[in-house]
Amino acid sequence: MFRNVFGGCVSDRSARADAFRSFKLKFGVPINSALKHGLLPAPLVDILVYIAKEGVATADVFRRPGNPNDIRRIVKRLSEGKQVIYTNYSFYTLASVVKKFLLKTPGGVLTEDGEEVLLHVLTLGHRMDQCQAVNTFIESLPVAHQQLLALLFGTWFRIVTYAEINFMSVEALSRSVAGSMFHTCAEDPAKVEKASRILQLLIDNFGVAAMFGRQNIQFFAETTHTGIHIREFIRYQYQYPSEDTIPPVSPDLIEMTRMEGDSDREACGMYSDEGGVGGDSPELSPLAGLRRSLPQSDGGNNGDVSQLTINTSTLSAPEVSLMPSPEVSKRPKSLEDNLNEMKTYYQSRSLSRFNSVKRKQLERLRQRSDWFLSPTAAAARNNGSNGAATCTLGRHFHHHHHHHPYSNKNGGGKNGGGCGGSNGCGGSGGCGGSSKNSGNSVTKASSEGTVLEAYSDADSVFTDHSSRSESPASEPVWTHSLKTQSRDIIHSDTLAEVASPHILQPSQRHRSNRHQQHQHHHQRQMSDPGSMDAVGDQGEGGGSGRTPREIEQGEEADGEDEEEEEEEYRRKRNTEEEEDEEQRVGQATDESETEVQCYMLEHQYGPMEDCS
Amino acid sequence: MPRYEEDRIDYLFKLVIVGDSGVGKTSLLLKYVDDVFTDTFISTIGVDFKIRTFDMDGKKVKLQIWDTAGQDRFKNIVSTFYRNAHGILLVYDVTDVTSFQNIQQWLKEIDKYAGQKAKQVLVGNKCDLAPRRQVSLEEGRALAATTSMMHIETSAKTSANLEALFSDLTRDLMANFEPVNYGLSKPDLTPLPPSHKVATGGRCGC
Repeated sequence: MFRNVFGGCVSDRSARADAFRSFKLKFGVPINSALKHGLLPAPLVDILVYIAKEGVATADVFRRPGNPNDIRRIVKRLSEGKQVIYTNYSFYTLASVVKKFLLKTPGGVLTEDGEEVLLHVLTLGHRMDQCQAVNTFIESLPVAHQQLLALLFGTWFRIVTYAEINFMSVEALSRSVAGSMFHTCAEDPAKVEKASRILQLLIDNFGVAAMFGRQNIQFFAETTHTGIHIREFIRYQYQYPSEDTIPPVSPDLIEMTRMEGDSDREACGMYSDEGGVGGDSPELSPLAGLRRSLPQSDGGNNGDVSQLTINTSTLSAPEVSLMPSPEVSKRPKSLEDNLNEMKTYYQSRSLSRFNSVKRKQLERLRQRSDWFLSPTAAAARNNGSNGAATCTLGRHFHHHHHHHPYSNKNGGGKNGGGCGGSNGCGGSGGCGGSSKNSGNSVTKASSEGTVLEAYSDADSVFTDHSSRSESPASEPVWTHSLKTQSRDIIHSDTLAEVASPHILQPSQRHRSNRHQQHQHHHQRQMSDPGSMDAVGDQGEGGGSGRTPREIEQGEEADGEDEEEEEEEYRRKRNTEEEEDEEQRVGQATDESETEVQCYMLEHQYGPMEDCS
Repeated sequence: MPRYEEDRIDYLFKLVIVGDSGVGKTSLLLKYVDDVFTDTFISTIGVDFKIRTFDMDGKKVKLQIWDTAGQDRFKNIVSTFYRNAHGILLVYDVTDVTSFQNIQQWLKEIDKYAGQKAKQVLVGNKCDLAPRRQVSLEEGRALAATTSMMHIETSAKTSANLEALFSDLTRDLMANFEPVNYGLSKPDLTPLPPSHKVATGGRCGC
């Protein structure tokens, strides 16, 4: 099962400026006095946040030693409570400082007893027992200690997520830090090996709420202003076929979407929720079939429920404040202060770039549209929608999302892309059925003359579509929303082809990869529990409708600057968020997505009440 | 009889590979001994060794090559392995200037723990990554000259200079160390080859 957690709210720049608070980081004191008064040492937090945000793609980070002179210098300055400008040093050096802190802490950061407990976890046969044992251990620690561990493991988790770029697989990383984490094991290679195994378990399962605790995971996301993608491994899913074996705490994985890049424009709250989709449509393909079986065996809240994540539009500052955040009081003060600054900063910047973004998006939309109407589109679409299902297959598929030109384009692109992405995420979460669903719902909708209203994009992007309303059937029958000017058209003929379950191109795999990479890009994802039944159709409709877009986007935008793309995306969404704010009914769902969904449903099943 | 011949070696040398994490110590060893190269990087824990036997100038030489952990944390474990080493390979990564600078640290370690006679070789690895090079050949040579080490640039990926590294070192070691003495354990062996050179002054291991 998936859960989206979304965190971080502060402009990076101000956070960094604030990082220079004087606060000593003592090396060589026991962990409980390092964390005295329940406060995390600010410099350590700052270093970890910096690494987690910007250093995760550094090759061999945490493995290679840094410059010893720099390390000494930083350690000295931090011990004296002096400022250190972290950006002046390499990530290797900073990682070495962290390791040095871990190493110098008498008894280690886990303490001797803790190490013993954790090493004992390895002897537990059942994965869930292991989760439980680790959870018990973590819960037994003071909050600040838990948060420190969350920062460490969260950072490492993010690092191993990029193993394809930084070569730090979970095994490599845990071996590299085992000596610093498990002091009792450092002298004996066999013991180090053991320590490394338990570290692998801890890093790999950082996102499992049942292990690290939701609050700790949220704390990490919030503090680092990043999200991370956590997905369930097939191995894991098959291992626990019935829901009885899932511990009561929370069987869900938390999916946090990475929001990084130019973080000074990041604004977000921490949202977490889950949504489910009942997907029991027939199989589209063997792949879909495989995936299909996952949600059932994985047994979340409901064996048959597949998760679908929905893109949320930008979460603006006011919402942030709505979010209950238990850690607020413990977080470095700067973060709180910055919430306010951030908003104003954010608004002014996002608006200033809005026009250029809009222009760009429109142009791309046109290209996409042309492409979409071309004969090859159907096949591609089919691939795309089927591809969504393949996501579950491998964790490693997801690792290159940010670096793959296609993925970036896709992710950074439209909200429409977002729809597809969210669908894909659902698929990746083991929602094989959704891909199937998508085909159906799209077909239906199109035959009824439905227009996929990319509502989230509506006011900001798709403003001049009149030229593209080629078929009368595509006239929107939108009643629910106030804004109807923008739409994306799906023609029934292409759709029919698309929806045909028999068209499976050999390139499907490839496509799916791309598709799934794309999902990773979505910065704001959340599921919407209120529209469980609707999600499947919507996500699908949205997903299928947008797949070609994404693809096209990916193809055409190859050479573009990733960062910029992402930035645009975020800005756009922000802006639209601001505009749409009054439409919000206080719930943290993606307004636009919901509307699309409602719209679709309305066409298929009659009007819906509960859309916004 | 043939089996007997195979078992017979003239020289046995213990080599230790040291250097920062990630410079390619394990890769060098695996490529040289097993002729495999992988891009997966896993830190070595503690020490590990591999053996390769080959003929050098008509002598059968057995190299026992110890691969050590580059992680600071394991320096204690590693340090005990310097003591009986005949040769020490100090490896840095030509694309990473820090690893080159850290050679000084490793030299200190070696001074502390290794025997005086141990032959040192400075190895600049990853020389296939020319565009990312941060340490020039000259810099490497200059550093090696200050401590009278041999210097060579290798690539575990392409095998460049790999054979040269070990054969040069072996030749040097053969010139500086006694052959294996079979007198005790295998008395019925043929006498030591007459042609071997015994520690011919020259460049002694320092």
